[in-house]
Amino acid sequence: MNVDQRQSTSAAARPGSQGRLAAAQPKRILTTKQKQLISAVLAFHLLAVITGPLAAPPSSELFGQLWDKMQWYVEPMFLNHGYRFFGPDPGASHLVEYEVELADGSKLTGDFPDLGDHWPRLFYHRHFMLSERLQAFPDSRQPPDALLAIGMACGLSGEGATIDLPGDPTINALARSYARHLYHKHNAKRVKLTLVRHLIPQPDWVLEEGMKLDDPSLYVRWLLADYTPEDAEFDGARQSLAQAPSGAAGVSARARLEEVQP
Amino acid sequence: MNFVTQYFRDLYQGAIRGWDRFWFTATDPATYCLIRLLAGAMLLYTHAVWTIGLIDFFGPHSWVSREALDALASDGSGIWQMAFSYLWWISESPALLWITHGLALVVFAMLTVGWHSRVVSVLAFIIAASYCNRSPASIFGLDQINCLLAMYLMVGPSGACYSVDRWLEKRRWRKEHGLEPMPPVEASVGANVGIRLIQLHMCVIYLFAGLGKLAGTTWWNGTAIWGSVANLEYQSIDATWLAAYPLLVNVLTHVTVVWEVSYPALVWPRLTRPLVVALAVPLHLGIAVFLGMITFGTVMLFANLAFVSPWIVRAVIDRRSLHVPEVAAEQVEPQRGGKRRKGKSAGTPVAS
Repeated sequence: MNVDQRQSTSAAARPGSQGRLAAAQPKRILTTKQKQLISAVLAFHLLAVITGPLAAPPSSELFGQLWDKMQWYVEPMFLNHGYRFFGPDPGASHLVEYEVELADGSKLTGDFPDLGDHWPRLFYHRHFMLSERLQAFPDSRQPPDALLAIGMACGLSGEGATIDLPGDPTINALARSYARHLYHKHNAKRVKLTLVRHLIPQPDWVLEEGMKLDDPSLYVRWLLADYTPEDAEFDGARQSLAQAPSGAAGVSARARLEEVQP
Repeated sequence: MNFVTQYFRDLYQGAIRGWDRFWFTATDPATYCLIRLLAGAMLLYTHAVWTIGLIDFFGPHSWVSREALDALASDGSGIWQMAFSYLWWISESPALLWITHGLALVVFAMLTVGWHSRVVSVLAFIIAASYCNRSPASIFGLDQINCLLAMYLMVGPSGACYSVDRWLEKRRWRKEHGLEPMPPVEASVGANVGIRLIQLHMCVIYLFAGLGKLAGTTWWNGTAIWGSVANLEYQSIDATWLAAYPLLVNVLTHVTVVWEVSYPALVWPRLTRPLVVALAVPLHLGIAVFLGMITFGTVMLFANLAFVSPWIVRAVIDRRSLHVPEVAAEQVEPQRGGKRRKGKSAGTPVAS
């Protein structure tokens, strides 16, 4: 150990010093004007830090306007987050099943995320987030009970149900993007995507009835997209699936602030 | 009336003094540099994992297309126009993408070891934010904290210690001054500002994470933790045995919310800070171990290190790796026994 390390360590060990005495005094002292300038920058930055969560939906008109004023700084600095981790309620998770018809007529099926294919766990989570982004339909904000009720109303039984997906501009755009990716990756003739909502069982179902978390009755399916090159110019981004009337409100610029789970 | 005027005068002067002390007190950069090392390693790992799906996520026909991003700005506000990413310029060329990705990994490796720290800390933030802004549908809490740490590592001398920069500095000193003692690491206002920004940002994150939960039903009726552990896609260790212990689920749920909401207040007083920071460990380790988000749980703990005093960092790291002599070790001991300085509690293992 050399001398500077010894001095530094020794000073650092002083009780209650919080480390301030561990190092040599700075040679440069800030002037009052410099401090005022830095303080103004810090205050502005801290305002930007709270702008993201304040403006995350649902938010007031005031915070909406604050967002409009701060957006030029908040977005480049990657501060546009709501930080609603597992809020307001931990909900069902979402997966996407795909069926790709290849050029030779054979079919390739798969899903994402897929623990078997996507390794390490972080890579799995990247794909999980892709499918979770589609959670906004039909209403992701409902607690597990309500989600189960939706499943039942959709005729959920046995192997689960497949129902049609009403149009949602954001969901459709993301689904189109995912389909286009698979289309090009596999040089496909047709791509079919199905959104799978995996519901969460009640504790007593697990405890008393022995229900497994992957029980087939806990999965609800929606047809998300069915693309073919004949009626969809993927690069031109024309969607083959008939655009149903929008079932969701227009997506605001703050849509990104609606966090998926972490 | 006079006492009202006096109150506001005192308030103003106290606020000014407090602000000045809070931000502009130079501090030992040990904690700041440790965070650089750990955050750099996490950034390196995060982006190394991107390598597996580089073309799928960032290439010409990526999962998230430009059109999909534009759809998020359907009100015409151009949300993505301001979220900068250099990856858009090169997404059509896989070769360029691979080259820049390789360079990005080099930058994160340099940040981790603290080589040209000042420059690479700025580059690291630009790169990390660019990856997130290019593929926002595949990011999550890990990326938010990664970028947060990278951003605040730009502020101060993150390579002042535990770094190649420091090692090179020592080598130069020995060459020029022989056996003459080298001055210790300089206390830094920049390091203090960086640490303070991380601390405040963490308070904002926990506050809104807690408040966001209070808008839900399950965090009030105490079943939210069940909703998390019974989610098969998140689950990495089966914790459905919790179904047999509903009161334990209630306790875990309520403690989580109370801890998050109270964090911004209780993390500052010296008496409560160790408890608040210590509670972060089981909470984030729980997320890491049971919910399959090892990286997210770990990086949250890295960020919580901002509340750990530099002397603790020195005592732990320097003694372990640099064989601190007995004299220093002796000086460390009394703190653990709670020796008090006048007017202050000593030995609280957290930064002010």
